[in-house]
Amino acid sequence: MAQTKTDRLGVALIGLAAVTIAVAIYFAFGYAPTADTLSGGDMQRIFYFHVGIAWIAGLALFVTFVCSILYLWRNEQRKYDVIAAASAEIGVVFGVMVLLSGMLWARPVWNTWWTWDPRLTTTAITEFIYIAYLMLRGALDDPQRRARFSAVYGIIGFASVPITFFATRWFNTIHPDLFSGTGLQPLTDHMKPAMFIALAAFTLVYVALLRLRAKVEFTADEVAKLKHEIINA
Amino acid sequence: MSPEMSNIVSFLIPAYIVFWLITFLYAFSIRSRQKNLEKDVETLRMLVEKKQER
Repeated sequence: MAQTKTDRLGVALIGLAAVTIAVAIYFAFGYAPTADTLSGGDMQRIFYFHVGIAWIAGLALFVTFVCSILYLWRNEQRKYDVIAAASAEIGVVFGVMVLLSGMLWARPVWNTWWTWDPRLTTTAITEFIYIAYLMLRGALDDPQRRARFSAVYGIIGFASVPITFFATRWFNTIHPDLFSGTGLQPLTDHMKPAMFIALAAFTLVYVALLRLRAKVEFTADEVAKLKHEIINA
Repeated sequence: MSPEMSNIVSFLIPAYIVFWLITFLYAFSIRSRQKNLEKDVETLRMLVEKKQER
């Protein structure tokens, strides 16, 4: 009965995320006005999703950071390790999307797919740091050792996230900064709803994916437990 | 085709397609991992029961 209730929640979450994404697409293409030439004209419409994806990548890695702290602090409870691992994987997937969507915007606007701009470089470094986190998890067989090492890595590795976020303010960069409004047209009243709906939509996608991914980890635990039972029977 | 339209076709639409493609592939990979693990759980439970019967 509890299982049915949980599945209903999962289906409801996925449905809500899909509807909100559809609304976000409508707002990005049908509601928000075309930006000025400096911002790329119609190409600026990538930003609504690019920023949403970047927000999720950052949020996912922040959740990994918080759960890593909680794992070490709260007597190494397995649930924190599961959420940290699941969230890091989502962060890496969305990190790839941030880089790809950024490149697709940069090619027509900057006339290049890639430049070693501080924001782009720090984003790529963060991506590699968390790919290494997933590789570390895959390389350690002992669950407790894996969880402990990953928690320490998850805490230290997170330092790259604020550096990436503030790179547009701390360094000379051509990457637009949404918050200070440099390098792109400031968001107009008709652009803001498109941006906030995209952020809400991606947050729902993240929650739905996190729930599914964490379930995989818990099922893997059950498999390991049953294998142990058979060996020791 | 105007340069603006060409950019939309060449970059804006692919950007959205890339997002959907990766999201669906990732969700599908999670679902497939989950299904495989559930099959493993089922098989292992049967093995545990058989062992207990002996």
